[in-house]
Amino acid sequence: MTQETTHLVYFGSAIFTLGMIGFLTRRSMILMFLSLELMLAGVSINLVAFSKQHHNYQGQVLAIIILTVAACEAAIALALIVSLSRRKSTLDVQAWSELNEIPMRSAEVPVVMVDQVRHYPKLTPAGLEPSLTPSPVELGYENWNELGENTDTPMEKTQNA
Amino acid sequence: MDLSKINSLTQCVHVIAQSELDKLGVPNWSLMAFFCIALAGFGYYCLQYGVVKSNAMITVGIVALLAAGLLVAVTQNPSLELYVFYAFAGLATAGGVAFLTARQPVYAALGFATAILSGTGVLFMESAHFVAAATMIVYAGATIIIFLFVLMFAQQGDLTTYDVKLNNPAIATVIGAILLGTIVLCVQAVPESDAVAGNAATARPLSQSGEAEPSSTARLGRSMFTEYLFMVELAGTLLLVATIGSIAVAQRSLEAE
Repeated sequence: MTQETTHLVYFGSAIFTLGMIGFLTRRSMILMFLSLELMLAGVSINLVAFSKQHHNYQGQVLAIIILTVAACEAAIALALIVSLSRRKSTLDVQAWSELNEIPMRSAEVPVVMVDQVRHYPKLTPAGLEPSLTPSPVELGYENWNELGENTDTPMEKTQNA
Repeated sequence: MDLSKINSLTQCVHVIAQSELDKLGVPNWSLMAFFCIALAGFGYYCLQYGVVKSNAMITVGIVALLAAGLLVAVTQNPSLELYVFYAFAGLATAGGVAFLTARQPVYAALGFATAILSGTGVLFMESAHFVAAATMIVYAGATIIIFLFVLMFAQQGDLTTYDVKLNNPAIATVIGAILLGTIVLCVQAVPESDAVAGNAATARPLSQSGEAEPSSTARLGRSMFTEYLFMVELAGTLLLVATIGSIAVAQRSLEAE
């Protein structure tokens, strides 16, 4: 690499690193997206440097494409920020940290007693008019879809207790 | 490099790294490690406690910057082009640091604008005139204004806890210093390329250099709309999709009313 390209790569990587540190440390969503834009700017400086070293236009075309992507990203990011801050009325990104996975069956799920009568759909023979079977809610199982497939497990648990 | 010794992936990586380090030399390597550690420590301090404390400090900083510029001009005797390039690069890096260390979001956005505008100056020096103008219009014009607008719309009033308290700054500075040190190390290990003007015969095909400096906007446009036409179409489609998506996301839903 030539001396000039080397210095430009140093400069671009410095800008990129500053943006990355900003993205990792900032908690305000707006400033996180600004850090992302700074990273993109560092990359486009790098591309232009290599475009000048190789005396062709490929790097500059790529820099223009990056500019387009950055504009798209800014539009989407601002829409997201507006809709997110409207819901929780804060810009803190840690307000959304509970969007991770929860354990499959936590201990707080209450064990419900049910009788073993289950509702199964009846198949109508061919050629006959189907009779409308009552739904589980009409039969009195209010929260039938929270029980899961196997109703034996809560029964066993309650019997053991 | 003795290829017969390699019989596992880790060994292979080890041998390659060893040969690269040998090429670099021990003094260089230890200097780089010291540079990384010093940068991480200084960066962590700046990030956690801020750089600018008072107006006197800003004055001292500006005077020191001017003195450094004068010193360089007297002792090194650089060409005007190089001088302007380094001034722009230094200003852009300072803007980035201001963006990182400012606690007020509006000041941070202004630091970002400084960084981008100075970076545009560097692009001008690199004879990428159209890219520089487009960056100035898109980043410093549209993006900054919209971000400032949202900032003022969403955050009125005083500093909040999430502006003051950062998200594990120590790990972030260490990662950043390691990344920067690695890039500097790798760039130093790369030999002088043949792809500089005049040496096109010995260069590899992808890095073959053209005849003139890429400074003509007309030829940039011709290259973009002939060689990279598909990419331009793709970028246009991306813009359309992003417009529709942002309208759909930002719409106030009827149930919330």
